[in-house]
Amino acid sequence: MRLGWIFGSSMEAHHLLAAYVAVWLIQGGYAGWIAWQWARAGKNL
Amino acid sequence: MRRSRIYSTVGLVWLVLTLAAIAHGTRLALVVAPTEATMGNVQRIFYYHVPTSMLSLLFPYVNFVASAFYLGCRRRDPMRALTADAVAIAAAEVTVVYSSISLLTGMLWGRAAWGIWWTWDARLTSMLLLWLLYVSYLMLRKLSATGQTQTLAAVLSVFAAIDVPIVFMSIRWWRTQHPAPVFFGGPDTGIDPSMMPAFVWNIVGWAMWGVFLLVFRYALERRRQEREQEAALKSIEGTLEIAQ
Repeated sequence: MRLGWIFGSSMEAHHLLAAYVAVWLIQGGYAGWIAWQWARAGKNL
Repeated sequence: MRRSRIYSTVGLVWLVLTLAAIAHGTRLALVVAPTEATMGNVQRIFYYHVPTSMLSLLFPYVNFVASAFYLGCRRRDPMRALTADAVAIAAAEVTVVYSSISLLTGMLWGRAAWGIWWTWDARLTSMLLLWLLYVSYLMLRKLSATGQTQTLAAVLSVFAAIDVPIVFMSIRWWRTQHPAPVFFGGPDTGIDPSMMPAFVWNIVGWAMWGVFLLVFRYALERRRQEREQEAALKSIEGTLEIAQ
């Protein structure tokens, strides 16, 4: 199956794309925040 | 080889394997898995929604066990209690991340499938309550000014854990708008075998990611605790020098 439909204009395409992107953003954002805090805490060593 | 370098190498290998599993699971979910007959492509949200929802009911138990351990040994063995406290806060944050995703992806699916973003049925409401409980736990830890913050948070986490089986059983105990259990729900439940690889790879990938976040956040908390202990020690030493 081709993936082009996910960028279509239907509600199901919008919501599917939004769900997947939101998951990556939330998970990536949280991991990035931990990494940033880790680096900050390390500087005080 | 220093121990910290071994940990870093293991963590990096784990992260690479995790990202590979998530990438493979996402490809299977979006490209390989067949389109569901009644819901169409929006059903593909299921491959992210169900694994994250299942995991959001597992991490609270890590928080619960660590909090119970903290309460049990905080006087006898304060150093071990601090370690347990670091596990507890890491598990609470990962729970909030996973339950947020569960609620958000569920709403996106619900709007497309039911025509509404939200309904106050037993599953959705108990899941929202779980999210609120763990957000409260984190806010208590962040904002409380008392010297008993860790103990209060541990007590709250014991009560919060009670909501977990209620969330799990809600679609079994009550008739809800939320779909009936896909797994462990009886003889007529389950998914088509052709959808199984996408589901399994996403469970594996997001579980590995959750473990990575948990360990990384735990390590951060331990580093912070060490900094605080060093600062307290220096402060005491400074006070003693002034006194002399």
